[in-house]
Amino acid sequence: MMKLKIRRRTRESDETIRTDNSLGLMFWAAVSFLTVLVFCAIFADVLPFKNPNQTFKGFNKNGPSGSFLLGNDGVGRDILSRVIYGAQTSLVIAVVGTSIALIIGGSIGLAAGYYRGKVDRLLTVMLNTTLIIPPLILFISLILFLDPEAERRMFILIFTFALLSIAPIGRVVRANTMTWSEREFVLAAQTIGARNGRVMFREILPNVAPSLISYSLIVMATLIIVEGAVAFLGLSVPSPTPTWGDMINKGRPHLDVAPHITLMPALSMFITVLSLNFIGDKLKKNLSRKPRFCDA
Amino acid sequence: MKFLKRNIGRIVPTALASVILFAWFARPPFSWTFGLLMLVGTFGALVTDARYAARRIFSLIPVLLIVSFVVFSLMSSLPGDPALTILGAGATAESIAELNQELGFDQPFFNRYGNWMGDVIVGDLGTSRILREDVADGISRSITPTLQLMAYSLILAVLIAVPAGMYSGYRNGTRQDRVISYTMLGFLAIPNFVLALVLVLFLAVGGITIFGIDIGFRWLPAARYVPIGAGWSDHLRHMLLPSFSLAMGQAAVFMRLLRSDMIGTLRLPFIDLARSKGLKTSEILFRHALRPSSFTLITVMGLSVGALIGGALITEYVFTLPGVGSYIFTGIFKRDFVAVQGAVLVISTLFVVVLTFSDLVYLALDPRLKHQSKAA
Amino acid sequence: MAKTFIKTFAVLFAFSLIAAACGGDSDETAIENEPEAVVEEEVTQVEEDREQGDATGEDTRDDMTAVHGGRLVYGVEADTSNPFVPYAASCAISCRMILRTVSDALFITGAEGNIVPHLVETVAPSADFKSWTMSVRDGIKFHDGTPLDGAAVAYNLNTCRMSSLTGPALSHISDVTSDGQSVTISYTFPEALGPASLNSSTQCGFMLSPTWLQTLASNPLLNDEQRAAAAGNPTELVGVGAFTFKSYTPGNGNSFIAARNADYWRGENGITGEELPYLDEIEFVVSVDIQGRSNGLKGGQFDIIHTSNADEIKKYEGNDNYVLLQANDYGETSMYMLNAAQGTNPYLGALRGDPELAMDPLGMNSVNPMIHLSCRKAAAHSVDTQRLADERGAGIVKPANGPFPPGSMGYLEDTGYPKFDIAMARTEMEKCKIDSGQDPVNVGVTIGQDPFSAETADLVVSMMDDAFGEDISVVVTPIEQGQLIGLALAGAYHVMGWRNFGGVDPSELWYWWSAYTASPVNPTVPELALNFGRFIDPEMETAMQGVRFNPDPAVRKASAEEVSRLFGKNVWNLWTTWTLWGLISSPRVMDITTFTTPEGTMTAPVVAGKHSVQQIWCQDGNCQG
Repeated sequence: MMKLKIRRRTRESDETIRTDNSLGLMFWAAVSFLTVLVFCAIFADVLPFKNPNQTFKGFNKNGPSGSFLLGNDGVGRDILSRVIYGAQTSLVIAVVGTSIALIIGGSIGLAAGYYRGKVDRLLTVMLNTTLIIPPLILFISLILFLDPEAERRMFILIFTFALLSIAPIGRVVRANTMTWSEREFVLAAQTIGARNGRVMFREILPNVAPSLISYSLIVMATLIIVEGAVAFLGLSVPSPTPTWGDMINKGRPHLDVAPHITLMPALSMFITVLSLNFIGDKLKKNLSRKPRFCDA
Repeated sequence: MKFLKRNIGRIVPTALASVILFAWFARPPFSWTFGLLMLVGTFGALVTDARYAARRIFSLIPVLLIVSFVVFSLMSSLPGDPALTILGAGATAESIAELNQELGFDQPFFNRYGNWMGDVIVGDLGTSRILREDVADGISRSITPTLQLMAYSLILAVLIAVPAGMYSGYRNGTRQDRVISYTMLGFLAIPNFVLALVLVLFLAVGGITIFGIDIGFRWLPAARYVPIGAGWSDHLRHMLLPSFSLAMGQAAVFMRLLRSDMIGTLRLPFIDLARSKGLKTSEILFRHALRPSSFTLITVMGLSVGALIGGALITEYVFTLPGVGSYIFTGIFKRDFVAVQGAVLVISTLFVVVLTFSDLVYLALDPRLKHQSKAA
Repeated sequence: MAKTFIKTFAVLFAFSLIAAACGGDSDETAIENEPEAVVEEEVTQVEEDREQGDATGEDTRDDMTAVHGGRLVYGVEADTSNPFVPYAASCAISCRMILRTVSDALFITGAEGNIVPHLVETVAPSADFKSWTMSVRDGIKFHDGTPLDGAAVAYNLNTCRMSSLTGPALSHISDVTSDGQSVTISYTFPEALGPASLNSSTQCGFMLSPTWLQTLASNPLLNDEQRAAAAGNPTELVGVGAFTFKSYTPGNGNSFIAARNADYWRGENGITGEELPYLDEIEFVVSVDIQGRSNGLKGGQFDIIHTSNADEIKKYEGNDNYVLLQANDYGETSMYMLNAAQGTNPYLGALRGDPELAMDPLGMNSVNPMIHLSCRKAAAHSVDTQRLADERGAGIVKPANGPFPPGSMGYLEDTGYPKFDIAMARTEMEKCKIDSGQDPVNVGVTIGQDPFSAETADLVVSMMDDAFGEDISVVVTPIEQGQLIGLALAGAYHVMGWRNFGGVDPSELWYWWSAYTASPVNPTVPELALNFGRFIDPEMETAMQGVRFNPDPAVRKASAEEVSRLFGKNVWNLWTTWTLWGLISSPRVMDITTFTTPEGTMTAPVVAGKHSVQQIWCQDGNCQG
């Protein structure tokens, strides 16, 4: 069969044939998009964007035009500058939230998966506890409990997002670690007397990392979308600070008459998530290596 | 005596489950929950060793205790006075104090928690003052649509993700792979309420009119819940759009994980061996590659139940479904503590059971771990 | 999401109890402001031309006769807290519709803002207007067979008077006695309206079976022994209405179902020889999200929905597939409440034996610039209410200039409320900076958490920024709905987005504006005030007395107008828009609002979105088609 031809190859040829080390046009397109977005978000105050909170009389719900490239929202604000300023919020929440979760969840998962036994049970109980209260419900309660007047909502959002991403990341790392620590090269390392820390970080982590990166990018993307869900319930960063989720939600009632209000931030979210995942995939492919059977 | 000692792992969980089940039997949400717990226990005992399953089930008890405590303390420390919500604008300082006394809010925190837990253990979740309804009744009523919604979504997600993920992993790097991967990525990037909105717009309410041409259909209902009792076809028609809008995000996650693990698995030597034996592609994929590729998927599937509950909250809102998500959501905003505590506890219990189940399935699928768990 | 905004006011609605209008005095405005009914149907081209000549469109339906049968599914915006007995329920529009379905009120609002007897046959005041006697129609029975007599009415009223929820608003009633079919209500002050306030826009105006009420544990008239034995369910209403209770399930997506009452007093077995109601069954489905509700209508799951979301109403304008009816009669006013607590309150102080009662003992409100008239005026001048109405109300909502919408007693074309004028705003701002001693002037705005309120606040803040630039610094704080009302009651806010003051007669609104209900600001030991703005206005006291106690309609009208003017002059609130209610239905649903009393008097079609259901019928006796 034709299809099988591709698959029929030795492990040696796997690297040479399949791993196309050139990153491709799409990869660079994704990187450029994110770079431009991050650049605009960081220097939004300096760049010639309109004030995101200024309402232009007579322009409400207007479609894209010469002076407002992405159109105006329900109260006549410039959607372009709100998308850019919204990127600040959405990206910071997602990136910082995921990073914190990655460090904490990754360590817990690694330890649990590697040590097993009592450590595993203790850490699993810890992870499960944050996990088993349905996240959105825990969000609402935590947000209302910690920050009823939305004075430091951004901080609280990052905190809760990180808290709730620890367990999923931890579990994925744990599961992966369990599989990898079964492998011969780990046993080999242990046999020659490598310390546990070394085995975990030098033998297992590099092998766990590719799927960890892939999963963290999903988590990051999910956080961007969860921000939308929280905004849907009116609990995100308070108005008038723009966030993508909030913009999508506020455009919702006008979807059939002025779809661009929802579409523009949704599209930004869409392309950002797409780019993140794309980069993640490519990086994973290029970073991933075969398990090391004989570690010299 | 020897028999007891040898089979302690089977006897203890069964006895425990029977006792609790007996105490809670009259209450639908609990009998389901603990019926499930027993199923999981049996399953665990069958596929791994009983001792491990028993340990997993025992480890749920502290988790659930912590959860109940967290939920209870979160709810009772939310700002805002439940008595004020109940009495409304006609409240006076005296009537608020009186009602607080009646509701037991004047008692110390640990007394209240103790009383509540005491009631919960015998199957009494209390009575909601706002809804004027027994909380257990409310939950058993509202959990049905949510469980159905989640079940259909999971089934849909798996039905979409497994073939797509396998095919895409198998044809890694080809144009077909790219088309499938990017389509699913797209679904990952669309919030479920936007997807729901678009689906409703084009499939339920007739779409939009551009230049006098109607784009869209009125095939499916846009709102409301129809129980199975009123006819399967009607029930499924009403659940299709909500389930689909909830499923796509999860399908994308599943598909990506399966794809990446599939790629990894297909590089392993035993696949080469299977090929060299001349097995058919489909046989290699489904019989040999799928199982080792699905470990991460199963872990994440268990976890996704949590995401589904969150998504269900919003989906229920958009589609006017009377599920447990809206039950809890309304409860939080109305400060209906009794209802929220009860509902979150029941859902968390269910969720924990599902997680345990997914762990046991994981063990069953990867025999290397079974050996390891015995050794531990 | 705008609907969560309304849910908050469920609690407030509960309190808007005494509603009425004195007959005949407001006919000019009433006629001028007939509900702006836009009724459209699927019609042929010929009929379309004919319809354009007739604004109301009612004529296209006259040749059709009502038929029996059909099951109506009504999408309503919210569930009810403490359903549904009047003395306990936080009864917003959805709950009122249910009460109108299973029962009738003693009186009903007439087409011209007058009050017409419904269950009541005759009513007459004593010479000093301190006691009113009415007699109830003979031969009416509750669904459980209990006859509706004077004693039954008295029992209903007493449950409301003794309840902590509805009691305060009925505190002006000193005694209720009954004899046969007649009931006598005694008041502490001379009452210009008397029992006419117990009409269909007051939850306590609806009569429920006393036999059934006695089975409810929450009934405040029961003693401990009876309460222990009470096993009734307060949601299973037993009224005198056209429909009998069938089932109720709380929660979004669930419903209240009532079936036709063959023994309705205006039905074939009744006392009037009519054939009401026409429908076999009616189901009220809670659908909190307006998009969900609207989709349900378009998808055929609902036959009729109500909404106060102007954007959504606007979408149905000119849509031939649905019938849209919009009205802002007796509706609420949207506004920004300003906390004016300062100085002393001699009125409430006199009652408490402390004439020097300080309104702001902790100085919490002293930094609020809105205690100064100049700042209030500056703010009012800087807000373009017309733009708010255009952009936030889809251009179909009208900018508000006072608490009374057009058609209500007390409405004035020009109340003297500051008009949008940036130059004037800046002049006042200069004074404000001196008065408040702040530069920039710091304003804290508290709003609900729903996107609609948030976006409206964004627009208002942006207008103020445009007008004052660096002179003002506005911080908007969204507060979750459950807490918002608590802050308002305790006075822990400076400026707050709000919606209130719906009702047929201004006299029912006195407790929102009286110095007697303005308690000091003190969030630690909350003293709950219904006068949320906590303003002390002697002129307002006088004007409201004219509205409440003077039997002369002309004096009452003049007093109500004076109330409007006082609000304009002192800017106690920043008005934004008057709420517009829309009823959107499938064209098969007929006669949604045309209800007459047995004597043939037309009733008000829509009162703040609420209407009667007895007269509704569906083409071919089938609402779904």
